[in-house]
Amino acid sequence: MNNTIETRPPKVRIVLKSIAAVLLCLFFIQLLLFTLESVSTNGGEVTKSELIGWCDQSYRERNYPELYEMLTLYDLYDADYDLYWEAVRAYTAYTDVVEWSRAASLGTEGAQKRAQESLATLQNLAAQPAFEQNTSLARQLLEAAQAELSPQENN
Amino acid sequence: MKCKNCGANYRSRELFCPYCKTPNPRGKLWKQQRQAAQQDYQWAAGEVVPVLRWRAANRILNRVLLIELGLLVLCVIGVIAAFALGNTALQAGILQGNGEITEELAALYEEERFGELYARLSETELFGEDYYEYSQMALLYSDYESFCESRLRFFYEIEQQEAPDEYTVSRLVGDIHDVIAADIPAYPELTERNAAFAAQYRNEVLTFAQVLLGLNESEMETLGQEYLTMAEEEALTEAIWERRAWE
Repeated sequence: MNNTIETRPPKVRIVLKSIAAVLLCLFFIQLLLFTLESVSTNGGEVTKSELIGWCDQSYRERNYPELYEMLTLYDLYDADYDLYWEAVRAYTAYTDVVEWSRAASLGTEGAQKRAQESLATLQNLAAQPAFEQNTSLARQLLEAAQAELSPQENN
Repeated sequence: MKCKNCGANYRSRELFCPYCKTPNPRGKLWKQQRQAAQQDYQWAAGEVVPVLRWRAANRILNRVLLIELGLLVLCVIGVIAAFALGNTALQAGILQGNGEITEELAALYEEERFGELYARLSETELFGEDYYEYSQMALLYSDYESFCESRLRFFYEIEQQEAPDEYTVSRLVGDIHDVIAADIPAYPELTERNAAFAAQYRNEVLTFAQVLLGLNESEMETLGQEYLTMAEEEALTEAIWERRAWE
């Protein structure tokens, strides 16, 4: 009987297998946690409501560079973001008026025309904004742009 | 059992007949076997049982490992299948809607909606030689878009704090250089239509650099170089800052 039974316990093998089993178990736990996190955070994707929330915050704070950055960074071109694009367009038109009127005062060719074109864009936006919320912004910017242009015209 | 000598009945385990004391060979054999069994039991209790415990643990571990490895293989197969299916679906979608996508990209280009063109090319993974002109334009516009953002930030900071941040000025210098250089390594040869857009963007950034940053001709030449070193960028930012500081 002694000859038929191996009396040395396979300790080393068992220890190695235990380590492997524990490591694999930890791997599965981590995988499970990662999957749960991924599912709960929508795979790391920013949700539409979050994006609209961020845009809305920048819009309310009148931080148009940040708004523009958000819109271009996340490629937000569908109709849900038209309100924000209109605000950015109005602000861009205002900055164009400022820039081109200063260029005109330095004698840059065609600058006066560009300033007038940008002013016309701003006037259109102020007169017929696609979104009522943008009316007061467009009007304020238009006034500021006209004030910027007046000294140039007087000169 | 029955005694062979006196014929009395007694248990076969007895060593002698309880009546006539005749030795019982079956009882002797039974005792020997019992002793041997007891020895075996003691040996097993001392030597084999602990080993059996280890062996039982080993068997359990084998099964656990087998299940875990099976799960691992399933996970790997699942991941590979998901990637393969995703890729196939994307490719199938692209091939199926190839004509539509081409039309859509063309329309975005014609309408000068280059931001959307960039987004659509990225989304469909169609950046490449097949759409050379669109891909090139999307990247050219990306540089211009970055300049537009810095430019808006410049105006905004002047309004808010009466001066732009030094970082904004430095970023503007970099963006202006990128637009002027119009260097798109993946699509180096500008197409005719894209060259016209690049020229338009170049004029706009040069006007901005001249009018609002007050760059002089030599500084404009530096900006117009193919490559702008960090030192040159810093020097230009410093020069702008010293000159304007901030009006």
